Amino acid sequence: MNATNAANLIRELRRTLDDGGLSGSFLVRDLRSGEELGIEPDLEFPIASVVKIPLAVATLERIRRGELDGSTQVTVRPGGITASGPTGLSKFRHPARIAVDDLLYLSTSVSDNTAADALFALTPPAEVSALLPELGIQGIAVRHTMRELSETPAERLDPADAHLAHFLAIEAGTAGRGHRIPLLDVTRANSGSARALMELLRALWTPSRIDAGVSERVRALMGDNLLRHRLAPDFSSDASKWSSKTGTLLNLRHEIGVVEHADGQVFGVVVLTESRVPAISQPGAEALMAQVARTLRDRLRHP
Amino acid sequence: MDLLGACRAFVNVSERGSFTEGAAATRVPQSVASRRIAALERHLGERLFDRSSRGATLTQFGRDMLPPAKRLVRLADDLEHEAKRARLNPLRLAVPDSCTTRDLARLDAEARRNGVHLDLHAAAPAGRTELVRSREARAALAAVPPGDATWSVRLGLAGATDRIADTVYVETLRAGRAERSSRRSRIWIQPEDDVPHIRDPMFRIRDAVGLQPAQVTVSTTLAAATAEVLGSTDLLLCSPKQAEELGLHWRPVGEVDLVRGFAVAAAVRDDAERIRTRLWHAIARCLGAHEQDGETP
Repeated sequence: MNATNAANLIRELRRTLDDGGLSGSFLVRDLRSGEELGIEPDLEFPIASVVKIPLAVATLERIRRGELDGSTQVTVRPGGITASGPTGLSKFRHPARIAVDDLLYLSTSVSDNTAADALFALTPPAEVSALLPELGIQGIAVRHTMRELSETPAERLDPADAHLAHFLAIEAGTAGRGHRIPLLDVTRANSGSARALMELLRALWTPSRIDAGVSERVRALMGDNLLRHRLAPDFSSDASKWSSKTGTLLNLRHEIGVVEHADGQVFGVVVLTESRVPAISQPGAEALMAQVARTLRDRLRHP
Repeated sequence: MDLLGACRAFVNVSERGSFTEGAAATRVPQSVASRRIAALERHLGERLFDRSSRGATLTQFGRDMLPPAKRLVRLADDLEHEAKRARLNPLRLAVPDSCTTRDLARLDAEARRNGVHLDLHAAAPAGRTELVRSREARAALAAVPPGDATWSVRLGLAGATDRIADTVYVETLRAGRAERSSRRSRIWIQPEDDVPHIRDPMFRIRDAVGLQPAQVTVSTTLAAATAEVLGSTDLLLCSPKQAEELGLHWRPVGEVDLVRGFAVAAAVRDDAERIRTRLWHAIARCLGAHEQDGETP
């Protein structure tokens, strides 16, 4: 690939992102050849719900080792959350008994925070964090459960004033990627860089220290991802399969996934963004993220 | 007694050497001049004129009193002349730099007819407030929220092409999901409207209806903003009067009622009061503000 052209393309994409009020990390990699193209791929971000993939890997690994049983039924208390956004058990009104295997589905494919916390109760954040390096996964910090994620300033404000929480999220950053809101502080939140998350995708889609059976289960769960408004419209077709996990927290919008083409090509895509627009619903930003990711992927596929 | 009037009569009669001519020069009947001089003689305690001779001959006391009387009359004349000059001294008023030369000339002419001489100084909102604070201007038409305004100007969006709809909704500038590469229309805010009560609600609407941040922008000059609008489907936030002057088609904004408010800021309260009462209509016409009954002049 012509290096000057690639630099021009990236400069142009950065400008497009800036017009849309977005900044962030993008990394696209051909998982067979290892060739990659990215924008700021080493920047660390709080990863929000993307943490449910390391959680699924850790839980499935413990099932494989026999420490947990996938068929064990867990009683889950209702989430009782009336705000719009949370899914699955978080919206349940009554206690439910659900097997660990099914909690994995709800947590990973439906991004259900209550299900994820039920799994964190079995394998606490510190234990997930300790297990990842054993499987060859570096650079992803797991520090807290999902319940803490919902404790943002947005939950304390009237829905009409929720944009103020976003304004706070945008403006209260401190030097060194710190933040007055702990969940947005990469030194206190669950965090990782685009490159670290790409390594996780590579480990799941190509042979690695993660057990083949575990990888296959995680790939299947990601393939069933129900949230398909962000990158999926630009990557899925009848001739390709898009498997991914999204993450959203205040002004952060992330998605990491893999597109597998019918011709055998496989690309990993990691997009971690923050918006400087204090609005909750930003379909324009979602479309822009996908557009930039697709442009990078297309350049990699047709150099 | 009227000491100054008596001294005038005394000086004029002595200079002309005749009660008749002296009274004429003082522009009073001779009887009045005689009465005033008699009163002055009583006041000073000695006769000024020798009544035994023909005509008006000064006594020795009258000759001694003449130079100070002349000084008093000259000082009084100076005082009146200075007062007249001071009344003509112009009042420096800081006005929006978005007003046209024609508007400013008409305001100046109309103010003169109302007895106020203005020295108009065009500046942007922050500059106008600063001019009054530093006393470089005696008063300014300050940009204020509509609740505090003496004059109100309704704002809307103006474009180069006529629109069929009666109202422009900001949301119509949002690109559909399928249009990704075409240029997105923008809304330009002119420097006059770069104030919190207009700019911030505009930005909030932009974010709330899902426009890109770049789609609502503050321009550096009104001319630059107009140039962007003339060559495209962009829109300018402006008053109906400005749109007419720029040859653009104006429509109200659907989502919000934005109003440019003006109030007089002055270091001396009397200046502010004089501008408000004597020049209300002239300034309303200059700004394109509503009349108090809601009609545009």
